[in-house]
Amino acid sequence: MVDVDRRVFLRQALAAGALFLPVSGMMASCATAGSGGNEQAKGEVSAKNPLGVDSSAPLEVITFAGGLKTTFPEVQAAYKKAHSGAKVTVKGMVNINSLQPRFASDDPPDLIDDSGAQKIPLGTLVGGKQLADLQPLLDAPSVDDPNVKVRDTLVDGTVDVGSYNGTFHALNYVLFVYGMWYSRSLFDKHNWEMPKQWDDFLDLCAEMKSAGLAPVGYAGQNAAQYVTTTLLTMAAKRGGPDVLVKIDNLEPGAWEQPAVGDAAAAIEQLAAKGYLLPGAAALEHTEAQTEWVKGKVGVYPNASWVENEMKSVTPKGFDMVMSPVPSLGSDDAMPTEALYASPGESFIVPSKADNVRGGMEFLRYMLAKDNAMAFTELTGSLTVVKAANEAVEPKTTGLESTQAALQAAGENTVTYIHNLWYGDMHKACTQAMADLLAGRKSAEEYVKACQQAADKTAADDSIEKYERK
Amino acid sequence: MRHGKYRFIVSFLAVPLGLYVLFVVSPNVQALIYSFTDWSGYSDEINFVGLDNYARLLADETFWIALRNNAVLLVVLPVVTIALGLLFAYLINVGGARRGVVATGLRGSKFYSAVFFFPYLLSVAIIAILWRQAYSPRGGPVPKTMAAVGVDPPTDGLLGSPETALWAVIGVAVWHAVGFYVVLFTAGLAAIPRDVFEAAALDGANRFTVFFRITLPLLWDNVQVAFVYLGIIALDFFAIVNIMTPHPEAISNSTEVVAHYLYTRAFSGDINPQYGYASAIGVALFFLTLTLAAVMFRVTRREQVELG
Repeated sequence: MVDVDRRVFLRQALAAGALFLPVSGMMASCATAGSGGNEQAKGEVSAKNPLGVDSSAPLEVITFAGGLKTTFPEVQAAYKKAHSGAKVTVKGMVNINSLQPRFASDDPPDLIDDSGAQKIPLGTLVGGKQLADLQPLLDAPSVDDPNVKVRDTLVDGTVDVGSYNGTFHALNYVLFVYGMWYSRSLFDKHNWEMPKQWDDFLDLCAEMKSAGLAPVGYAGQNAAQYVTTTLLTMAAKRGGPDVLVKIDNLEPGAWEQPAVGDAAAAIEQLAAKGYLLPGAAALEHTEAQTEWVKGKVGVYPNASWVENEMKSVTPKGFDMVMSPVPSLGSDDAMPTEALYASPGESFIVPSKADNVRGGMEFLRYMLAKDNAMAFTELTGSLTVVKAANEAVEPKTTGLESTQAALQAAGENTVTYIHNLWYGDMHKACTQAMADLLAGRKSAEEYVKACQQAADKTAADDSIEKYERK
Repeated sequence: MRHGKYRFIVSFLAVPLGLYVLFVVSPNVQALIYSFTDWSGYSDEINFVGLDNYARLLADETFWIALRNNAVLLVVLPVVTIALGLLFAYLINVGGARRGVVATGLRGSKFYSAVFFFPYLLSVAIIAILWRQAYSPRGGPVPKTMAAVGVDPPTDGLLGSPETALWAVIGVAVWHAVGFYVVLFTAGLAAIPRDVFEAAALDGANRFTVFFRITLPLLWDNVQVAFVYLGIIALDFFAIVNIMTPHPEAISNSTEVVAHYLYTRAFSGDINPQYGYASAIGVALFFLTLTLAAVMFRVTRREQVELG
């Protein structure tokens, strides 16, 4: 029997550990050692190769395997056809931020779809100068027509949303359209129509409630921000797109604009009148949306990804469709067809990648009309390629209604970007929204909480600031 | 002989100690170093910022809320778990009907000990998902049972109301852990000679007296061990929170704990990663755990009860 006292032993073990500290310190410095500047692969610039891609350089693309689940087979084929010597690797991933060690060691992939709950917030990569400027892509001739630049094939706002103080760093490929989603068959059965004005919508809510439905659904645990989008869309319709620009630019008092207050008061009514799905505060988005497709909820404020997301549990004949968020009044600044449409799914090319030009070239092929249409047909989501959105023939009710709403809106689309720029402010506003919906905050208190978060962000020098027009 | 003994120990410990240094000591030291920097985690640009991260930490409201929640856990989780563990172990082993003077467990005690231990065999992730469903305000069995016995469950759900969310997750942790402590205390009880109980019974002691005067003092060592284990669980508590309430801000941060807050600062998709700041939170948690361990060592230095 060995009789070393436990305490004495522990003390000695600790001392031994201390001896190793300097060694560990050296290891720490190794963990973040960079390999220095990379040599960029470069080829001859020609009409057929406007970006000057090295046709023999390998290309590594990481796609997001969570929502969209495509590895762009058509684009891969087109890229290989144009650059026969290139070895193209496209891999789907769910936790994009597990690429962290590759960024830290300056060995990132050439193109990444930075999406999902575990995405890498772009502000960090922009701040570290780790993203390539995608300006050459915008100025390159499009695949379909060499006389048209890529820039001119894109939906309005694509360049704004992907730009950081004037430099275009992220191509958001998918066009997400937000609105009020509902089952057409359910509405037909009750002879309901989606109202264009908020007051009429409240009347419909009363009717839905007496029909035994929860009028409006949301998910408090992780998706209260969908209602933030509803609120801010209403505010923009009331006061014009500038309302959102002011909020994004952290202008003093931006959240205290009357239009925002009116919209907050409207949302507050949903909570006060008991029109929200009971128990929604405890639900996650898939749980709450399942209640909706089970026919227990009337209207669900959501974005156009919901159709694909709920595909496997949506009963046949549910026929989900969307319509724009109602207007607060008939004297609103924007027409009632105005829509919140935001490019999402950020494709980025790391500046330290071995094949930056190849990454942009892959994007150029993704933006070809036929390839964008193939993407829409596979995923049911529109892209930022204007011509493809007009030409694609929708196979589902959701996509059909999204396309129609987008056409009706025309130039009247709005978007905000502060959620991508200022994570802490976005988090605080989402918390305030959860409180508003659960009745823990009034509309005034909601506005106050958001303004406080915005002021805090504006005053914090450690947070990089961006501006939009 | 003494010299040989140490060589004997070292030869056995070299490999585990090496692994320990590589995977425990070294990451801790690295975290300490990064906590003095503004490293984002992704950039190769690292600047030393001195104690800035710690100054920010002291002014960070959410950190203090998280710390308060950990403090609640630190008190409630061990006390409730140990109390239930002791009660069940006592009932299973000595709390049953007396055959003559021999104390035995309740009828079906073998069955109960298996049932109590069962949750402990499941992974925390499975348990958290299971209980999320059980707590669901949309037809989950827990709110239904509450309503059936006349307690109104909160409309926003147990996990959706800031007043109940923390207690709901603590409940899950207790349910998960209690089986292990039933087994631990059962083993402890087995080490107590039966004649002690018999003597007490002959002297006419009732079950309460036996429990508080005999069982508990003789199990005190095991109870202390349980306190240390459960204290460490309470200071971490990441997994259950992250699965059951992944966004504590949606419920006024009522379930935020330090480990989860650290995770949010480093790995959230919504907030720019701040590995430097997250490391500072980690270092703070490390020293809290160390303090707890030190306090526990001091408290447990008590003399053992000798059973001859």
